Amino acid sequence: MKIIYMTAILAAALFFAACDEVEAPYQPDASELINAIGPNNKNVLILEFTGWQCGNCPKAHHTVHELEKLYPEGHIVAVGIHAGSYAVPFDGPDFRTEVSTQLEQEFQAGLAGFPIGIVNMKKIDGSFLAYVSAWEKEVFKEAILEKQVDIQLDAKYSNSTKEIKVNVAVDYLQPSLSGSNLSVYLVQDSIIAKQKNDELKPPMVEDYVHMNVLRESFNGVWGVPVNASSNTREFTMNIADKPDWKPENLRVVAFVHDYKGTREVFQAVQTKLTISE
Amino acid sequence: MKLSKLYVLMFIVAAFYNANGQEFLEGRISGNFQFEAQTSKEDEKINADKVREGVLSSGFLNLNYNSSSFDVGMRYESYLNPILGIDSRYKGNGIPYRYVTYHSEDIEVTAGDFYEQFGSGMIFRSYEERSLGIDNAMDGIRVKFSPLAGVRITGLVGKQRYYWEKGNGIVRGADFGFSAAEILGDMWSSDYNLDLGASFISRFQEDDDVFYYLPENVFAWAARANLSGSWFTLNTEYAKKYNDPNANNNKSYSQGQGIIISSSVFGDGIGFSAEVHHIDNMDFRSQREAQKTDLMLSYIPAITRQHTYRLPSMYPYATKLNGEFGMQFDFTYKFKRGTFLGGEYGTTLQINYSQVNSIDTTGIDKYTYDSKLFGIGDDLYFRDLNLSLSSRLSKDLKASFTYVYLLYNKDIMENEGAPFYGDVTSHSVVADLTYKLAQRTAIKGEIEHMWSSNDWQTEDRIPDNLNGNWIMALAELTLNSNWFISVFDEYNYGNDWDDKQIHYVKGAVAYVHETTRVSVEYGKQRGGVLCVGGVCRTVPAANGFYLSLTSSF
Repeated sequence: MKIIYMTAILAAALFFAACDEVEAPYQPDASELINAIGPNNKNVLILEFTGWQCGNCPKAHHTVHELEKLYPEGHIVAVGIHAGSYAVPFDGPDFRTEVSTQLEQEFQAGLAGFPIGIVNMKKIDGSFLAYVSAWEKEVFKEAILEKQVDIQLDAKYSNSTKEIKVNVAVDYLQPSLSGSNLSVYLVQDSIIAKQKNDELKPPMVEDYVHMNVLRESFNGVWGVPVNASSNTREFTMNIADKPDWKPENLRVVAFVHDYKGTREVFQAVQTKLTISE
Repeated sequence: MKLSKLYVLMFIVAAFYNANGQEFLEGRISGNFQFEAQTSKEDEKINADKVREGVLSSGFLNLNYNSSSFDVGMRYESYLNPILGIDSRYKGNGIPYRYVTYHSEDIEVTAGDFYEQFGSGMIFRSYEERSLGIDNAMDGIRVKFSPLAGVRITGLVGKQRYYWEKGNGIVRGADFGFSAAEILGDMWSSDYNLDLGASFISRFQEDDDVFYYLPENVFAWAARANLSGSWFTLNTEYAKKYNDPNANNNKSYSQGQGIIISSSVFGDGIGFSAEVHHIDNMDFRSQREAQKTDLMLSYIPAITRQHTYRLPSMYPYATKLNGEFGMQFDFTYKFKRGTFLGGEYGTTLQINYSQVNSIDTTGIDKYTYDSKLFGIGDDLYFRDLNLSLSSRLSKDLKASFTYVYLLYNKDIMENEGAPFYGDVTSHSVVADLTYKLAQRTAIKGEIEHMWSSNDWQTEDRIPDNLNGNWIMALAELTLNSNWFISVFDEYNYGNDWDDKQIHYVKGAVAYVHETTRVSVEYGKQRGGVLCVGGVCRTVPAANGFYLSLTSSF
């Protein structure tokens, strides 16, 4: 009887000893799949936790840039959140805001280690936080989904009043999502400032070009609920006391998300400011 | 049926189960309990944040019922919210661990959660280390079987714990262990033991990546041989892992391999041990995206000494699973009592040396590289030379003196190898004295000093709370077998920034009664890296109270 037991266990062990060996090419050509993504697909919001002292963060910035190039224009909506110990200014730039700090504390991104991000505020294996190596895959998973919400976004800036005026209209393609929260953020591109880059020697770069830097929110960190019956919102912000906020480099990001439920982002859009005198 | 009700039912069924006609009352219930609570206020000088919740707490209760044929157990855990240094993904409470085990003379079957290790753990170790917040328990089925005396077979299948979820990968494995002395009986010389073993692990995880062709089944195997006699031991294990592109090896499709060889000889008052290991691409997890200490299958402890004194432990080493060559030598000699160095009670000398280097690799393409077993690279990761002398100076006074030299490649350890910080070099001395005042009363004093310098002297340097020289003094009073009081001060007087030259003062009181221990600490805790068995976690600085309660029954 024992011999039978032993044979059965050996057979089971060998049965379990499965092994797949992959040979070159290791990467398929995914361009066909990407090209099939169009206006009816969901955009993807990447909240990227970063800081000027984070030497590995330029790798993450590069990944975001590569994703922006890979997908149709406007499909990747990136927001760089400078917060936590890597963003403490010392003799570097201070991109921290109250919104950034609250986002970092809410998701405890600092504990997980920078760079780290959140893709469409969806949990991946029980956590919102995703390491850079997972972004490519997770972004694709989201990008092939059909969009459930449409957002019309318009942002104007007046040089004379120094005021940004934002109009947002939310159209719920899936009516059950009515009542979701709308958040509207202001981000800035092309800021020249210090950044540590561990791939370089010496690693400190004085004239690094910072993109997608979160500057402020128009309506708090988590936004406000918007119903299908009353689906438009208008926001204003005066930036007269922010000389570094170059209007030509500012973008408005709007996203609709399930704040009280799973937190999932249903749609995210972005637009540059239309500048007038 | 709700899960909690199911667990209660499991206990009742187990308790009333009438196996082999025996009464359930033959079994016994045992368990243990632990609770920790922590507060911290904002302290900019030491980079401590205010605890938003006011108090953080973590706790658990293990409850086990053991009878002659069945064991049933579970663990309730609560992290509301996790104390500092423990991953925030533990936030919550519930019963993540429960099991039923049936065992007879030659077979044991476990359903539910279990911990297991194959060989030294190179390809599989499922374990928990609460101080680091690691728990990668398996949830599945495990069968242990002994068809012949000296033959042990273990087979298992399951998924690993991932905070309050399970990892995506399915882990299947088997281990075979053979003891020559037990199998051959009288035919084997009783002076030696020879244990042989082999283990196999295969992980299945779906390939849902459109950008890579990924192996869904990743296989690893290991073989081991341990020979021991009355004066020596020789242990060796070799492991191989097939292509496993993952988040930690930069999506390398190269095969992994590792070998550990350790040996020791010992005699009357003398002992010598040597160990070498070569590790190449052996970061093996049950989910290819997992990072840090999540979902680890492979376990390879650091080949360096784990220092327990506070200052030398500031720069600990953690095994670089992607590639390292390490060696360690340890020599112990006891000078006999009555000799010049042995004094009246004898003196023990211990000398320990370890060094870890990179391995020699040659890139083939973006996806693969070539490397040879025992090919040592040029980069030095870590070096440790330490020696200690310990002796009883009089009937009531024990003393120990230690010197530690460390070279710590901060870029490798804290900056993923990118050149920035350079090396940290430190020399530490420790005097540790314990004086017995009465039968159960003793006072212990410890003074440590560390000279520390680092290569990182550029203009772009960012202030930190570790650099420079440190001094530490500790006094610990054992009042009786119940009460303990201690206070210590770590002073970073050599920090290059004046405002970072901080005293970290901490006091603690502990009360022990039978199997219960309560302790309260108050003071400043420097941020740093905490390592257990070569696995490390960053612990943030804190300034506040820490309460701990442990008990077993």
